[in-house]
Amino acid sequence: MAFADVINPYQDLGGAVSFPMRATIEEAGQTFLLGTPVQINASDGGVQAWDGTTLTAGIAGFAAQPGQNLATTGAGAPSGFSPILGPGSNVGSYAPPGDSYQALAVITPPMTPITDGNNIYYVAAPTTLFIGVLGSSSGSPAAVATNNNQVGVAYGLTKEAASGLWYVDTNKTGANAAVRIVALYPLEAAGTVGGHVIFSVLNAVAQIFA
Amino acid sequence: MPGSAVMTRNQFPPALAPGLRHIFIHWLDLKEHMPQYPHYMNEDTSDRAYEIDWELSGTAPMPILTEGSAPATDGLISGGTKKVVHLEYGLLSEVTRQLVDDDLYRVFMRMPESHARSGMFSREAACCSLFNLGGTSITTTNGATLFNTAQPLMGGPAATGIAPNISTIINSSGTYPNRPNPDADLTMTSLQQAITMIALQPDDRGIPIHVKPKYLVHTVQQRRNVRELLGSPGVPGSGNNELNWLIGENLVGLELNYLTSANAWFLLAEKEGHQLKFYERKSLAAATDDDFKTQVLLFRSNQRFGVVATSWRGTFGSYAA
Repeated sequence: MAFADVINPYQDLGGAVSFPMRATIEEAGQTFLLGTPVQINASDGGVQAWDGTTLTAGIAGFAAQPGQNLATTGAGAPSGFSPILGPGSNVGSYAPPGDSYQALAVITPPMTPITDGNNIYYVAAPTTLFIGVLGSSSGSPAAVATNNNQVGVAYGLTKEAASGLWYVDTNKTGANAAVRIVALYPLEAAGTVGGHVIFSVLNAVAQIFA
Repeated sequence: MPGSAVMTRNQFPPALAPGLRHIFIHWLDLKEHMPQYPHYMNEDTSDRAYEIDWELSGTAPMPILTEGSAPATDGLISGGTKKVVHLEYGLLSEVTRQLVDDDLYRVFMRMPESHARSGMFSREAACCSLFNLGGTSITTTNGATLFNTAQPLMGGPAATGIAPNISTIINSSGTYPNRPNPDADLTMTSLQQAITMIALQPDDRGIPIHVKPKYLVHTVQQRRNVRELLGSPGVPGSGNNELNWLIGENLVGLELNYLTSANAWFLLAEKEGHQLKFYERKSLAAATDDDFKTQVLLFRSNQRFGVVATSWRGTFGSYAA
């Protein structure tokens, strides 16, 4: 029996949401911060923090929400037309007081972030421009002054140990590059130490395009 | 997906030609599509991102107070909560201006009515997922699946010790089943066991709740079986001229088209006797606009709702042998 189906456009990513975003099930145990480069885990498809080294189809996008520290990959993600299959929150849930015999029950405080098992991220499509701080991991990691001659140059991305946030790393070039500088941030003068640069992800590094 | 993302004239040539006697339009001409979920879901509205339900036990039965002594003390027990996060559903259809202009039968302007039908499917399927996934991944405030052979009671073993006449029903102390162990096909015997099981349900302190099943939820494949079970004057398949006792139970068959297991079957109390809920966050709304540059007409429909099973009380489910 034939199985093929018509290939059709599926979703228009234009409109008011100018940057393509995607929601994908989140890998278990992720605690990454907003803006972290993320990648799709090859074995189970969960979104996880980028390992910092995979440069061939390595970055799916940049996190638009923090990691939720899910107990299992995609915990709570709806199945087909189901409701969310979990407590609806992950952070802060605690067990009822000890006089209850319901070991699996949880009390979910209001105001804790809701979760549907997915993580939303800005897709690292080469047509989307991102903004980040310029720094160098050479020696003691430090901010680097912006320079007009950095435009067009490909650099890497590195996670700052102190903050857990990522920066464009001038110490990573050539085969270690992940992004290309498109422009300096126009509200900062060239030469600003730790100034922002506008960049796109290299084609070869982008894991998905939309 | 087989449906065209952008509908153009070449895809629908009959709409451009005069002389069609009748167009059998599915979303307009298939009339028999009454909603099913309002028959069994408790419907409510919500104006928040989520709602949280909480389950709380009552006190234990009141013991004898001996002369000159103080009453025994007892308090309430906190169960778990169940958070229902409303999910958004949406659909977009695009039709070129030329197709709309040249459509002699004004069919494509009626896209929102087709969306209504699509949106209704989402509601039905989401509500029915409580049955379809109730044995695996739909959980209630106690953290166990909606249909379970051992629903943990807040009162624990003391509760099952108090609840009258359940020693042959329960599978483990401190729990009460609302699912047969093992699962069973729908027969007179399994239905009798199920009715007994649901009728003896205690609360979490062991006090019987006197719940009575009202609906026998089943698939189309079980229609004959259900009618024979509920409607035969005598016990179906028996040559002993026994009275069909089920007639007196006033069970009503509730056939659902969105069940995914052919032989699964369920019992439900009247709405006030169970906690299967549908929260309407945003009713189905259609919007139409056109793209300035291409003049493509855009039909968009959205709705948002939440579905939740707060408690297993008043329910029973079997996924068939």
